Amino acid sequence: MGITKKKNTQKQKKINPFELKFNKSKHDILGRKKGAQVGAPTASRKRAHEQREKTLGVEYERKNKISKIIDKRLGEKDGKTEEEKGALRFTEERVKNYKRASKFNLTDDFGDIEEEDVLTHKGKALSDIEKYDKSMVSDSDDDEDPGNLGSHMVKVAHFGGGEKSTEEFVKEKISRESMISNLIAKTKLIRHEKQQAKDELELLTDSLDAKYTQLLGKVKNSFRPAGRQPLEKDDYDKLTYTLKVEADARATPADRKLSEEEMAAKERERLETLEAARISKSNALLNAHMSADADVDVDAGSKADARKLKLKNSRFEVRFDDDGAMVDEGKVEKLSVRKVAQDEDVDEDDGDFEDEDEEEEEDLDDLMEEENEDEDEEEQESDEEEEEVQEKEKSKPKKSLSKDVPFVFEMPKNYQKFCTLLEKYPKDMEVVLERLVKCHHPSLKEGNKKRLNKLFLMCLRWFDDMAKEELTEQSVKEMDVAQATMHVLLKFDIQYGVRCVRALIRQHWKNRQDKEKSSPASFALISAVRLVSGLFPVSDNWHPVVVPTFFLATEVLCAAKCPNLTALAKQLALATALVEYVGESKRYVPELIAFTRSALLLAVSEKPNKFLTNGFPISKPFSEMLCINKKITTKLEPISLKSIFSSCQADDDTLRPAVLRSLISLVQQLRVLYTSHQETYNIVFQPFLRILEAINKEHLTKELREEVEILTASMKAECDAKKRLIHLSLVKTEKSMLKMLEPRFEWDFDPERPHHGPKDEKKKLTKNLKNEMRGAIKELRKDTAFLARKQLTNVKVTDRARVAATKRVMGGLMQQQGEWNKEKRTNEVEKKKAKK
Amino acid sequence: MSHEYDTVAPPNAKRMKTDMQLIEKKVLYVVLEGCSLETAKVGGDYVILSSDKHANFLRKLKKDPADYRPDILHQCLLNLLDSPLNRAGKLRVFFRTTKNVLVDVNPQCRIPRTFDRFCGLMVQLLHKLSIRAAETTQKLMSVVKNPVSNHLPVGSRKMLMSFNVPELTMANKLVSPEADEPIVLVIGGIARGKIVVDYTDSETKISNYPLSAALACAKVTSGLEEIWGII
Repeated sequence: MGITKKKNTQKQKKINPFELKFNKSKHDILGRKKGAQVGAPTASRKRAHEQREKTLGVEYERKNKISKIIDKRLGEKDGKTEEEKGALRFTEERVKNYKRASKFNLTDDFGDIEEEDVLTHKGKALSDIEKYDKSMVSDSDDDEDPGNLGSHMVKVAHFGGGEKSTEEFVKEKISRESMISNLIAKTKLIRHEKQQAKDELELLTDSLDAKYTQLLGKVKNSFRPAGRQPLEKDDYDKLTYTLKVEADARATPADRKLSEEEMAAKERERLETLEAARISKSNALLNAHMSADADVDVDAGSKADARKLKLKNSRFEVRFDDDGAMVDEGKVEKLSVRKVAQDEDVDEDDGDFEDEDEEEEEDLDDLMEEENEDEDEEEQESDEEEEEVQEKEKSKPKKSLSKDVPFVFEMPKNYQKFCTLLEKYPKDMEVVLERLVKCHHPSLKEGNKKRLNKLFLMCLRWFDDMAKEELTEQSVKEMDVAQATMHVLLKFDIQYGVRCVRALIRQHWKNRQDKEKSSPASFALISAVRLVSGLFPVSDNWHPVVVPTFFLATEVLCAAKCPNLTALAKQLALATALVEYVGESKRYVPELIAFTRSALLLAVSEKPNKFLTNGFPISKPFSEMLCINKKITTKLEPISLKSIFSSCQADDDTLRPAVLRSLISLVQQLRVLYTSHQETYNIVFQPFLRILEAINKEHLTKELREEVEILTASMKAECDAKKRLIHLSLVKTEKSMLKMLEPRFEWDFDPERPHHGPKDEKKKLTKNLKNEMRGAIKELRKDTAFLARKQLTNVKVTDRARVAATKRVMGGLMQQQGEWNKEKRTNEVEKKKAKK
Repeated sequence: MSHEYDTVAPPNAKRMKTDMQLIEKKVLYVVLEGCSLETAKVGGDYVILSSDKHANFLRKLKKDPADYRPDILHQCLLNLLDSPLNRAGKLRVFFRTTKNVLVDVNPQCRIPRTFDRFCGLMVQLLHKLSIRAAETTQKLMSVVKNPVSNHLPVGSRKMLMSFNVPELTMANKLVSPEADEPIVLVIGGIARGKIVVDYTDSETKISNYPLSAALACAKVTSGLEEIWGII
């Protein structure tokens, strides 16, 4: 069987090779399975035709045919016998009846009969629920319910026709109204009775309760009370309780003794806060609100100064003029003095010798005069007391280091007395002044503050006078003492101190304006500048004393002319003092820079071009004032103040290197000072560098030469480091070349489906659609062609039939005609024969 | 278009007509002929057939494995496209496979350094007919229509590199430095044998020794760099 089938298929497969179509493959890829390369178009066309015949052809034939009789009688078509038909119909009928009438008819007769459908409500059968319907109504006793009538009553009234029996009704006819009223009355009576009984019961209960409580009150004491009773506490209990509970609590010491580290930490914290305050003040320009404060509120500023001074007291070293000696300010020890001070309970003066509202436009001399006036008045009053005091002083035992100095001093009444007092103890001025301050501490006596103010003023004057006098070592020392004292005194009344020093500065200012406009700075001026820097915080952005002093100094620095070496040295001293002012704020002072530069220029013989010499000589011998042309063998010593400020002029040749050296050190100071000025450093210091390089170092001493070289080198290094100015230039591009691009590498590349992805999906679909559309159109065309063919065949068939019919008819007719003609001819022949 | 090439424009860059005089005339065209670059489906994967990897497969199909040397093409392309001549925008490269597929290589194409990646890229090229840049849509390799002479400059000197010719030209004497004209060199990307093409006008050799294709490419590019002063 199998073999024959195989043979059959083989036979079917064998197609005439001329009916095959071969596909040529364009891109042959090794290893890939090839698709159908051979097609049989005729065979497929035939298959398609057959398929159409079955579908479209049938439809075509049925076209325009409307109805059709379908015989659905059973067994009619098959030509069965009557008996068979009957059997068939019977079974059909039975089957039909067996089926359910409806799918959803659940209760069918055939199924389980026992099961019964029960209507339910909430899972209960409705019949069950109805049974207990009554229970829904209140179950309270009918009789007691006030709203309802008694059951009996109801029964009688509703059903019985009243209370009375029917006979009674018959007997006496009662109207309906009376009956109802009767009924109501009866009900009310019953209710009333009930209420009464209830009340009685209640009364009884109450009385019983009262009796019980009475009884209980009597028996109460003999019982022990139930539950825990709070005990009353006496003092002893309380004490024990507290001891028990607060056994662990310790008394907190009011002020704990701090350990060393804690102390240090505390101190450090305090200092830090103070430092922060100081910095914020000195940077007032940066934070605007602070600066506004500082500008407006001078008092606040001075308060801050006071704070600062306090800070300084804890770690302050008072710096002095030239030698840099420092005097440590010892803590004020009051204990040794206090007793004495208490004894010395003298003059209570109410004299108002300092008015707050007083106008400040006053000189130091004015202030001094003012003081003196006050003093004169006081003097007379306190003469006697003074004597007393002096006696006391004499009686005091003297055990101090300096044996001849008494411990207690009376405040000198005026400047002359002050001077005499000091002159009395020329060696122990310090001690004298210290004791004077201690004796008049404001806490000891009222009015002491004013006395101390006076002392301050006198010290200031003393200081000024010393500065104006011929310079000696002694005077410088005395000035130190005066400054130290003033520093101490400033603590007590800072405002007054500010006022006094301002007055001093003003005096100097006026002096300069009037007389010595272009003369170099005097010693008094320089010492005043120094004094201010010693007494007041110079780093503040705004300060009532420091700022005017600063301006005074800068003014002097620019305005003064330097015709000779001593003048230059004086100015140099001033400049050095001025550096101290900007030491912390690092403010740029153009006058200072200009002065230094011009001064340095004097040390160069060949001047570079375009250099300004403000106030300095330009003519030849003087313009080379600092040029050292001769070898100096003497040892280099710092400039002594005496040599500059004393009237006898020192030798130029010895002074020159000293001045140059101090100038170099000033430049060095400036260089260090302005290191933080990143942007302007080069602009400021490049000229310096050029001048320094131009200095002739040949004849300098070894020390000086080294100093100059070090300064030059360090300045050069600094300038190089801060060289930030880079000129704009075209950016040089690297070698121009082609930009290489990385090819897009698809890791999941599938050559069988080279186009995939979200975009390609749509593309694929559109392509599919297009193909389908094309196919459909092709099919439709083929359909029409098929139909046309079909139609044509039909037409041809009918035509053929018609032609055949016509032929037939024509043939018949022709036969007829022929027969008729034949008959006709025979008739004619017969006629002719007959004629003949 | 020129703004894309901030440095050097590749020789095939599109330009405005007004820039005609600026077009670089000194361009070397290299045509690598007879390269073996053929894809096959081996074990479910499409690969570039190579002699050492698919020897058994090739023998099964009665092919000579020695004919399948895609590494030659890889080396040649690396040498050509990495040369300073190319980076200066004076090189254009075409290659034609034994299956007659002509490929135009964009001078900006960075050829994969590893052979495996190169093969992967070539499979992609042969199926998709073009390779684009990773970030942009620029075509870096594309299959173009034969014959190759349609893509070469008209009237240019076309020379075939061959060992079996008497004429020897030094690589740095291939063109005169003054001549402002392109030159076409045809190099066989084959392991052995000789290639025959109809569009060349002369045959020459640059060495008296047989050179590998990659070495020939390197010598030619360096010689022309010398001539045109690309250092």
